[in-house]
Amino acid sequence: MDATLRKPTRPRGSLLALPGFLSARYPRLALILIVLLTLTAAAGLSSLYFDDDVESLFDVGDSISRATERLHTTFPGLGNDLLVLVEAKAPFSASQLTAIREMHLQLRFVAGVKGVVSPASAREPPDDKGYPAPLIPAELKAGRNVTPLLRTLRDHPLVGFLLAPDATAALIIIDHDPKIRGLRASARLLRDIRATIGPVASAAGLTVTMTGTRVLRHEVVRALNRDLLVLTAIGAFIALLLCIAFFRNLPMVVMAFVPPVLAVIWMLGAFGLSGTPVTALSNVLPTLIMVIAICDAMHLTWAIRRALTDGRALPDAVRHALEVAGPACAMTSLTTALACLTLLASESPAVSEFGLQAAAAVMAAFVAVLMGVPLLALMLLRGWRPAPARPGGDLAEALRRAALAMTAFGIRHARLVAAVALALLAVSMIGYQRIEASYVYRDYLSADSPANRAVGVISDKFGGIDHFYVLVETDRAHHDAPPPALVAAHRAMAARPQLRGVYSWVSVRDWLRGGRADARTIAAKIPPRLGRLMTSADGRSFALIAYMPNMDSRDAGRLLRQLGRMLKTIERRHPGSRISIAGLMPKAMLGSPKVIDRLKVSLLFAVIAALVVIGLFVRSWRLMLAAAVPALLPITLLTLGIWATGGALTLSVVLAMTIAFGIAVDDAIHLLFRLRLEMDSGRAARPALLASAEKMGAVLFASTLVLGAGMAVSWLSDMPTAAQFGTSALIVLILALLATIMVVPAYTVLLCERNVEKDTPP
Amino acid sequence: MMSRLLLLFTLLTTLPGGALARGAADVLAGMHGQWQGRGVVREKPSAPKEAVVCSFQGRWERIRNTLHVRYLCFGADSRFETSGTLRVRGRKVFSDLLMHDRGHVSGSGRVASGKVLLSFAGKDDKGRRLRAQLTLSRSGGNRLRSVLRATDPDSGKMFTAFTLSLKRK
Repeated sequence: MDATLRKPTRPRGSLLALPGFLSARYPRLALILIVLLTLTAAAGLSSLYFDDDVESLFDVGDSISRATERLHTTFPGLGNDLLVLVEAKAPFSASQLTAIREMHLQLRFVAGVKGVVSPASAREPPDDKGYPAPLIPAELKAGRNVTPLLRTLRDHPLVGFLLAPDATAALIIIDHDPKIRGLRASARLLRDIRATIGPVASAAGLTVTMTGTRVLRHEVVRALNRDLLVLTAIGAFIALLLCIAFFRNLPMVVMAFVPPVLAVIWMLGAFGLSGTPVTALSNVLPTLIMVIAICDAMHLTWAIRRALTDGRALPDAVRHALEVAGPACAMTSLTTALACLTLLASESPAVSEFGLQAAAAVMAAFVAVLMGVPLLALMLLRGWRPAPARPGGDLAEALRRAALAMTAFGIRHARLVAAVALALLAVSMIGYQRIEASYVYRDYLSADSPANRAVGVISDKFGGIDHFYVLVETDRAHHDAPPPALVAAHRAMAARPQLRGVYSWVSVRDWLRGGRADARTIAAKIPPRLGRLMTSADGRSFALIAYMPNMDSRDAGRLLRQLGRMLKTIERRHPGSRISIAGLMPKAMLGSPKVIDRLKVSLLFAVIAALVVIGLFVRSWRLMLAAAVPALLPITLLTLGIWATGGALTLSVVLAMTIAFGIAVDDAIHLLFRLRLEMDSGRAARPALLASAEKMGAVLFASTLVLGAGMAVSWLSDMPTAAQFGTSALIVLILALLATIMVVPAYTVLLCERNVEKDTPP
Repeated sequence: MMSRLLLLFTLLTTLPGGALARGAADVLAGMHGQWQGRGVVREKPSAPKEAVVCSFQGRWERIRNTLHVRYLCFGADSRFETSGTLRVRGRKVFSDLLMHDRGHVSGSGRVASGKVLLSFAGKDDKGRRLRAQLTLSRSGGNRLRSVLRATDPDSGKMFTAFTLSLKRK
């Protein structure tokens, strides 16, 4: 049985708050250490940089990832396209076609541009002397009727896909130096391109918009950069205001606020010093660290304030606060770190790396808070006297009353609350189990982004520019004609109605209408970018490119799996050939559900592990069980809501759930630790619960308010994923607070009361 | 008296030539700077015309009376680059041009009515004989027209290889 509930003992765990005790014992040393750490980290901030590769998150090391690696080794430079969407109000006129060619030609002067493909690349098959004449004549007179020419361009087997069927839009593909990376270099390239084509386009009444992988990645990084700077600052400011409203005391606001800021500086400095880039995932870490650290710092500051109010001297109050709140702060950090470490089980190295970074950052935040708050208290609170109580007059009092009322409700209607919670958990588990994973790369872009709008236009007018490759590898060289496996794969793919265009060496052979289609002809007669794609130098690898509309990972995954099965059948019919689907798009579309589903399962393990840790910490399996339903409920209810409204589980949501769970369980830990202290002092479950709510309720509410404000700031982000992350985390936080304040007391009463009453001496 | 006669002789013999040399130098010096424009090129007499955009960079070296030139032209999927010098010596202009990946020619010519007319001979990158005529003419202060006529190494036939209209940047 749960023997520890019968014997009031002083909870162990003070050792967990060791950094705090050391800081209180040796404040000067702690100050020097904090200053040195902060200066070192600040020096690393200037080296901070961003990685724009969102798809790498879904690199799960499967056959598609391996085929993509082989594709990029054999055909370097693929998959990093920069596109220009050229639009007109009516079908292109002669002068507009000339302008498109002019843009094509001018672009070749731009530094970093390696090659350009556009409708101006279209040529006739080579004549009897071997010269392929350009389809758009060198001297095209303005006003000439170009309708037949537009039709010919659209039907061109190699570059026809670059002209929309209604001839009001065209695409220019820009092949650029893959070494151009980073925000500044990318911005320079995009600015030069815009400056080159802008005047030509506007003079001809055309509008131009840049898009494609390169531009989309640039926009993602720009949004990440903005979020990191602006949103963290706004979130911090709002949290500061809430701290001021709660503590109504400047030194205490500084105590609750400065250590979290230091934690963020340390973390970002470590990124800069170690040369680790900030990614689409690790971008959430500053917010996460800020909110976790503020939560712990508020609990610790509140405990110091209570101890001072009780009449303890400052050093004693600090030590007492570390004893009553320090271990709980340590446990909250440990459980959050544990939740983050479950991400190590992910098949995606990027997600595993994030899990490790997040766990390290959480522990760094713990050290910053445990060392910083006692130090600041000793420096700033000398001579502090509690202000006379103003009943009902401040935020803390209002929150305390609310918490007390809710806890009392949970205790009074323990059976009802417990039953409703259990029923909700059972129902919501259906949603958790059934919800499907989804990934749409456009969610990482602002809806207002011109590049994002262009992707929509391309999907509507061109049938999509999302593309993947089929890599055909043969055991012998083919230099004179495409290998039969490639021909079979090409014909089978071209027959699929979902695919907008299929291009390979077979297309060139068709274009040459029976002329010589050897590798040399390809190198000499077609645009280098398309030629490079057709065959490898050794004649053993061949790539086929297929275009499709923009879809979410569920639809794209189904299509790609069907195509994969079809290609495997072709492979079996052609011994000596290996046929694989490759490319960033299929890697992301097929890898994302695996990554998201694995995260979902990891999260459940994190919940169980956290509950076991809580049980060990408070040395009571009853209290562990009392925390079980409230810990699971916020997560399952959120997924039920998403599933019931037809939504899907995205990477942002599952990450928000993982992180918010880590934070949400903090509430339960703080409450249970206080409950344990109250029960150890001889109180029965009900009075112990009420006393805990009396002492902890206000700060639990306040910390959730601060955390919620921090999360809500992500609504200001341009990236829908960031807003989704914030909303999901906010919902989990609110549900977790309600569950902690109402459901934990209900289960505690049901599980512990009889036992304690029975064992309490008369 | 003797010195006056010498001066008169010098003036009589050198003035027209000097003026011409200065005229040629002025024409070439006027091509100093960055020019950009478009035109058409043709690789062979039978090849179709290709639209190109070109940049022309002229750097006038006054001490050596030499214009260093560099043409860079791009077609839809082709690239042409020519660099070399045009040097004024007396009434003549001497030139040496390297057509990257295509051949090397040298020649001479003259300046007449503001136009530079040059004839070249050389070899293409396969070692075959090559002849060409280049005309550079300025109109107004900011326009430069450049026409190259060349022989086809296979047939020996003369054809217009490129015609460019450039504008000062």
